[in-house]
Amino acid sequence: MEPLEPVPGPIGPGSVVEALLKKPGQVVYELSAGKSAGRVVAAILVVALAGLVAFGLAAGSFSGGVQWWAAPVKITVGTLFAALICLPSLYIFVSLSGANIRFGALAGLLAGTVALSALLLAGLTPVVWVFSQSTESLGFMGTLMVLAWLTALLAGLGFLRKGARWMGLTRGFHLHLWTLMFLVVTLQMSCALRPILGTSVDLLPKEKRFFLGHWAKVLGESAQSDTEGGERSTRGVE
Amino acid sequence: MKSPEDECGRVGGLVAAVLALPGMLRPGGGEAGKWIEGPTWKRVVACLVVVVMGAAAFGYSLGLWRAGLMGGYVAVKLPMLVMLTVVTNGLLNGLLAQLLGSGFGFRQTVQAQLMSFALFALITGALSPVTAAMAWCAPGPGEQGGQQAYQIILLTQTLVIAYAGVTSCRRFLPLLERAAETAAAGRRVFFAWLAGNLFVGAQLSWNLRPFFGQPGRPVEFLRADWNRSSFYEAIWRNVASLAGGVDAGVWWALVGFGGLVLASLRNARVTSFPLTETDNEKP
Repeated sequence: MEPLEPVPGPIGPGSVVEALLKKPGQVVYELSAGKSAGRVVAAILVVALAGLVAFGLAAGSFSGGVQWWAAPVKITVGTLFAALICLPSLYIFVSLSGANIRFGALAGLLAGTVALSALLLAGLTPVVWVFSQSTESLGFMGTLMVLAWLTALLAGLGFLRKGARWMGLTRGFHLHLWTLMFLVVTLQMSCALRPILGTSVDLLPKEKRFFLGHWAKVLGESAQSDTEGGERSTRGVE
Repeated sequence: MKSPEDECGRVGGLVAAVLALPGMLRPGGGEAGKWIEGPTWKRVVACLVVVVMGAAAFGYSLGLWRAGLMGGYVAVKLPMLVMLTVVTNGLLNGLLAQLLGSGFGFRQTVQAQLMSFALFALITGALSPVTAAMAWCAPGPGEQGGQQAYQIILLTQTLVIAYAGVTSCRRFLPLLERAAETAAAGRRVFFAWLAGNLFVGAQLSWNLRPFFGQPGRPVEFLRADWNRSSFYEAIWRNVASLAGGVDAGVWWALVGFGGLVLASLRNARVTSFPLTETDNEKP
């Protein structure tokens, strides 16, 4: 395991991005024992916001119109809200796993997790954008977005696991359980704040649904319209 | 001897005691041993604060799916259930602790009981933002998909309660083993308390129903027939209605078979784990 050491040089979004990607131990050190925890958290939040907004713009480009601003706002607010409501349980689950972490440091770790995921999402933004301009299939785009989301989030959660291990985590069971719960909460957020990809008269849904039921419905409708739509729906393949 | 919380003044000490409680969830148990061995008013009040806050938050999320008012009712009833269980079993648990050789007095018993419930309340309370968000996102009663949502929420809440119950018990048992005069006495006391609390808690939760709130029934603080039956009668009636056509002779045979199994288990336990000096030694 790499040694815990301070972030070299002045702290800003650039140095935090570099530390998150190459030497996460530096971020963990600053959050747990460093004197610049506040500045590190601020830089982390800037990175997280930038990454989530970029990914949201790519999602919004699929439908255009209102979604140009609605999708980035929903993705950013939904992710931060999910992190916020899962933070108390993370504190308890990490304690159950043996780690000795202050609540503030843990909040910073979670923010770092979101920031790293957002960075990866930002990296996937051009890919998502290319597809959003190439296809009109809602089912395909939805699946692609969820895959991108899960990939980025799982990679980001690696930072949380490492950080918790540095702070004394001995048993992983409770943290794995929390990880699963966090994934489910973020996916449910995507359903609660729909539409993020498609269009609707209302900005937020009037009918409440669980995300699995919603996806089954959307995929079914999308497959049907792809079959009936002919030329329009095969644009992505062409 | 002064406890660390006594050095911080009245309010500061109470806050310090409340903040020390999550540390007891760690495998080592933090300061739990000291708390059981040296109960103070601040420690007792800290446990009460955590129990009330954690149980109220989780209680609100329990009833929220049915209606906001139901959530409010359950936020009051869940801490009430814990307190009533502690009060109802207080005397018995204190007696059992002494009878089973743990060396705990009544104050230590109350402290230990409240600590175990506080650990449970910490876990459920920490999960309550997620369970509340889940209830808020789910289709409500009477809406399309409402019945399925009811079942999913019921299952999720039951899993949360089971997880919190099992985890807090797993954390609390070693604490009690260390704090008691012998590990074996600590174990005996733990299982005696658990059995008593489950027995009484089940009945009290039956009296204080509804908690989840069935979709077709009105939102109310207590059911009109809250004091007209016991939990165990209801179980018996359900079992009897399921096995309506079974002959009385079969019931007697089942009771006899159950008695035989219990007797053989007891025999096996006495043979395998004799209460010797070594059994009573601390690990």
